[in-house]
Amino acid sequence: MSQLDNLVQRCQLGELAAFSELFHHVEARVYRLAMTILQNEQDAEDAVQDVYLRIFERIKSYSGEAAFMTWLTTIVVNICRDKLRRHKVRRALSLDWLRNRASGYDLVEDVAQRQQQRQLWTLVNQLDEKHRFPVILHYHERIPCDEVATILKIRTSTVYSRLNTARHRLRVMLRDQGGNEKMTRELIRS
Amino acid sequence: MMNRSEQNASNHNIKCEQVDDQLLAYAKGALPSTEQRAIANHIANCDRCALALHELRSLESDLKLEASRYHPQLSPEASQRIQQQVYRRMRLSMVWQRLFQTVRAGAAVAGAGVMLIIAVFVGYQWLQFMANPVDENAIVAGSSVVETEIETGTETETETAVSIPTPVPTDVPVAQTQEVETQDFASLPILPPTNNISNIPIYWQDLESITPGDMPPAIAREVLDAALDDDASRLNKLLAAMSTHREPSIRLWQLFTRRCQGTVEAFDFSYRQLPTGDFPLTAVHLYYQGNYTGEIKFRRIGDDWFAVFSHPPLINECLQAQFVLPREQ
Repeated sequence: MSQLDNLVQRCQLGELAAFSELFHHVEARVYRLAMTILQNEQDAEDAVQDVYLRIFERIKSYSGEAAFMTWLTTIVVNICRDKLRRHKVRRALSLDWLRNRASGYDLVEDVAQRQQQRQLWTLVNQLDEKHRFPVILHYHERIPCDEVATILKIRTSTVYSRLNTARHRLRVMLRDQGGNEKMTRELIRS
Repeated sequence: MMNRSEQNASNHNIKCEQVDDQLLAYAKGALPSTEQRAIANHIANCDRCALALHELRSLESDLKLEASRYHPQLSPEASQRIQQQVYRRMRLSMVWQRLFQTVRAGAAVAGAGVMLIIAVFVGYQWLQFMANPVDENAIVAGSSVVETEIETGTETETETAVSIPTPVPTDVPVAQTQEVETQDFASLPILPPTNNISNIPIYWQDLESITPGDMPPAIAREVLDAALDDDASRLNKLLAAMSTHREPSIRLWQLFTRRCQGTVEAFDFSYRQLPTGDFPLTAVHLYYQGNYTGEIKFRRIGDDWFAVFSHPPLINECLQAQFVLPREQ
């Protein structure tokens, strides 16, 4: 039994300390996925909290049929999707959140820097949810297409179809950006 | 007109458009073997589709490369804060579960009689909580409202239709002879500090204000902030003057948190304080998008204000503006 399986089992038995270890184990991955989907640190932090609570509420119903990380990713995706769909992502940063940041935080600079480093993914973020989620899960999180299908509750063939459509749209966006694909690859690899 | 390679490719009964539709699945080897072979043969003889496949592979590679450089970090402070909040709710949930199991076990043993006693006890406590704990005169508050908005931050949105009746603001005693006109709050007379200890209930006499001197609207905002942070400890202190009614009140605020956390901010509300009469009581009405949603009543002791009764924002799809209530004046 792997360390993760052992942790999950202890959590299912109600051991609070095990939850602490489990959260620590999955935190980086949960936060990274939440940030990729929500594109906002405040919302991603909220999502992490919601994910932990959802794990606590539903761990006993985890049957082991799917891999734990697939189950966890499904929770993260659903929570992030709810946040996006409710259109209640914070329109302005709360004063308290900003106060909690280190001094000298420059929002504009932060966003500009992030966009420069992730030019392709900036285009991916312009796709609609239906096509963006499979791209994120498959290419960003390196999840196989059949698992992506399980997470999104669609057929595997639909995953391929949506990835294919996303590919077309990204090509058009790249062309519209004014640079050819070769130049974009050079920028990425530099 | 097709070129020679496209001509050859089409001779294999598969067109470029079909290949394009299946290109990604083909690249991953996910098609049935006959289809894989047919597409492979087509690509071998079609420059256009071969280029498309090459571009697809490049795009996939670039997406993965860019993603591999992305390592957002949750700060240790944020991580700790999140875990603390989660553990608090986990412990509360476990307490309720154990209580429920105990009650269920008790009911199984003792039967319906015990359940009836418990139900009566809980119902009595609830009625106690819902009743106004402050001995008030039955005088309707003046209709004019002093505006004291704090960081509304709301956007103008169209109203939605209303179907559910909701509680109206509870009464706050105002001396009948006092006429209060709408005016700047700062110009209202400040009541002298209450030095007569015998007028103050015992459980208030040793209180220390967590926000000394702060006006009720500022405290109301702090209460919402604490509730939305699900910070029971802060809520406990801010609602200190509610004595025996504190626990149910805090539970109500935490229910509001569960529904609304992450969707509203304290500064999404506006806070309107009613005029204070001779008796040092006032109320702060909470408005969300122009609709009244709840109130907190305050009593002034000395220079400080203390929350004495509260009606948390009404919980309905987390304030989806489904109420017909007095609009902001």
